[in-house]
Amino acid sequence: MKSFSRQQKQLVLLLAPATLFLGIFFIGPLLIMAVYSFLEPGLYGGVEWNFYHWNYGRVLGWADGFYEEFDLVYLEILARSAGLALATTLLTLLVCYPAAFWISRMSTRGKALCLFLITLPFFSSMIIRLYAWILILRDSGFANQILDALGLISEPLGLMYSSTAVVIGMIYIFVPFMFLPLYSSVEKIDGKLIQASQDLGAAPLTTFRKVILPLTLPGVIAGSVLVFIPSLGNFVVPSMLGGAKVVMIGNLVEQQFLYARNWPFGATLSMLMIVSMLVIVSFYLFKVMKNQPQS
Amino acid sequence: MSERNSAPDFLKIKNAMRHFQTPEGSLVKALDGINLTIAQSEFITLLGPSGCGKTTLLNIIAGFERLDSGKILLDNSPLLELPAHKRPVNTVFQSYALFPHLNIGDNVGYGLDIHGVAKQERNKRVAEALEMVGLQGVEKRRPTQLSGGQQQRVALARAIVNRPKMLLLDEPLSALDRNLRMKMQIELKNLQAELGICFLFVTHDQEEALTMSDRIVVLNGGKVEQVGTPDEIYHRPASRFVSEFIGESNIFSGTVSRCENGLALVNADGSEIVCQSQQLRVGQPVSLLLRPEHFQLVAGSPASGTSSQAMIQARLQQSVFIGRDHQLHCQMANGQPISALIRSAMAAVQPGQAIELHYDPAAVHVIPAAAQQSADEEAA
Ligand SMILES: Nc1ncnc2c1ncn2[C@@H]1O[C@H](COP(=O)(O)OP(=O)(O)OP(=O)(O)O)[C@@H](O)[C@H]1O
Ligand SMILES: [Mg+2]
Repeated sequence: MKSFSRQQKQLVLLLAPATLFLGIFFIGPLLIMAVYSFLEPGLYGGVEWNFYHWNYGRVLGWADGFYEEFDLVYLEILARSAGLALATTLLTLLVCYPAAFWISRMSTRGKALCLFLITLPFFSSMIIRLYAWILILRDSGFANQILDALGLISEPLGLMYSSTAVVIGMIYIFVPFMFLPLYSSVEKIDGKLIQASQDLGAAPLTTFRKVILPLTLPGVIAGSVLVFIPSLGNFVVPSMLGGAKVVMIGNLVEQQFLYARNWPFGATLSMLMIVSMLVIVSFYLFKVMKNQPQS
Repeated sequence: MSERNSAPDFLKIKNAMRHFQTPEGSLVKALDGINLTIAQSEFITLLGPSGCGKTTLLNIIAGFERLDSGKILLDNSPLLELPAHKRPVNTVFQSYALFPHLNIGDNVGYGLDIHGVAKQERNKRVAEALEMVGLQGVEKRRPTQLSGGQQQRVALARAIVNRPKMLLLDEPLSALDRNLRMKMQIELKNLQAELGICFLFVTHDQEEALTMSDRIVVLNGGKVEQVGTPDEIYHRPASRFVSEFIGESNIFSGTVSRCENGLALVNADGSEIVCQSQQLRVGQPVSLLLRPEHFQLVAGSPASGTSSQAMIQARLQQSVFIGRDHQLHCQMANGQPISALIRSAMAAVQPGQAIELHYDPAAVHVIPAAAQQSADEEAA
């Protein structure tokens, strides 16, 4: 008993710095934001310390129509953001799954090289890399030039400033976040299990469904969450590749804080974004876990 | 050879070759022209030292590995064209390879689920298979909640539940402790008899091979050294390699110096060994095998009343008690070591003492000279 309580003490000591850090720099700002979302916006920025629920009313439909107006566009933007984030997550998964398998079969050197290449983009600024994508995607860019030269298109596709461009950019940015957790779970699969499945009569697709997928599920979940959450709130990619046409919830929040100077409304939008994230992610986890017999 | 009445050439392997390129650039001949015929309900053991190609051969039959050249017929139809999941064989893996995300019932039922067996029938067969391996009512447990031996049984049940035409077992018992291994050996043998299907069993434990098999295939360096019943392999090894690999052996190399009355006298580096043989000619170089248990001990020299020349004079170096018997480590006059197994009651001799080891000339086995050995002799 005594040693147990000593262990507990040690645990507390070990966890204290992390707890303190998270408490101050993560929970604190979150609380401030939650409080601000229920305050009245000041006339020239800042807040008035009155309880004010019309911020939520503007988005969710009970605005008074006098000071604050209800507009469906906010919910639309939220829904579109969720849609784009989901598309990004699924497509990164599709890109990373085969890559993870392919790389996990390589020699030790090949693996090291590929893992290095995958983390290589982190070495340069994201803004610069997104400018490179503008060069590729714009009407006179490489993508259109190549397709034109191949005779596949007669006029530019108009890729820039579209949802497609935003999704392409986000896939590009978030591939490493999906790849690394996925790879670590793919690499752990015992090749003998795949052989055993074949041996018992399972065709390749069945083996994938019944053995490989369940065994790599932890990696799939971790990767999906790591990609979905930051891509839902992302505002750099849509503002550079989506322009004014593709506004995501992150851009909206940015506008409220920096240009409209309506902090309470920006905070409200952020809170709604966090809540929808939590709802979607928990729904996803619940769905996935239900199909997975617990050990 | 123990010929079964049912389909004596159930599995036919013809001139199977498989080479591997090593990273260093050299070529490893994992299988170097294997010829083998296996009957429908035989317990066949592949025996050989590490790296001799046992796993490679099993993987090729299972479909996890391809053949460079050669043919394999199972039940008279070519096997190699089929992908692994369409072959009517099942494998018991050395590492068990149970699916960690499925419980025992789903592990055993995996093959049945794939083949769409109706639920009721499936559950019945899973329960039957588990009962066969002596594991009832563990369907709901996870593989990690079973002991190594129990996992081994589950792996076995998972394979036999599909009623394969042939079961491949790659060193399935090597991870078990000695007692459990002996128990499983007997159970496996009984199970094979009960199911009446062919078991192709891999081991590098010669004792295991001798106790379990109908026939043993001794492999060495990708080649078949000998195919035969345990008795044949042990008492009439076809090559020096086989005689040294299986059991303890005393091998005497020399030339035939005299032949008379069906007895041949072989001069092996100064000492004379008598053996019963009609085929030997004077001057022919031969190797002779005498197992340790073929010796009888006569203490002191010269022995009175023994007219026979069938004895070896040696000096006892060490006597080790190993239960019912004593193992005597001796040395001949020419320096060659000899090992003899003598009943403990008879082994009252002291180290350093001169002894006579008597044997029956009929027990001496003449090992055929190398190179004449070929795999096609097993066809009979
Ligand atoms: N994938 C491979 N690449 C290169 N060489 C291989 C490969 N698989 C097997 N070998 C070589 O082929 C030979 C036979 O290997 P195999 O695994 O069949 O031996 P084994 O008889 O099963 O040995 P053990 O008793 O140790 O399991 C070995 O020399 C091995 O190094
Ligand atoms: Mg092996």
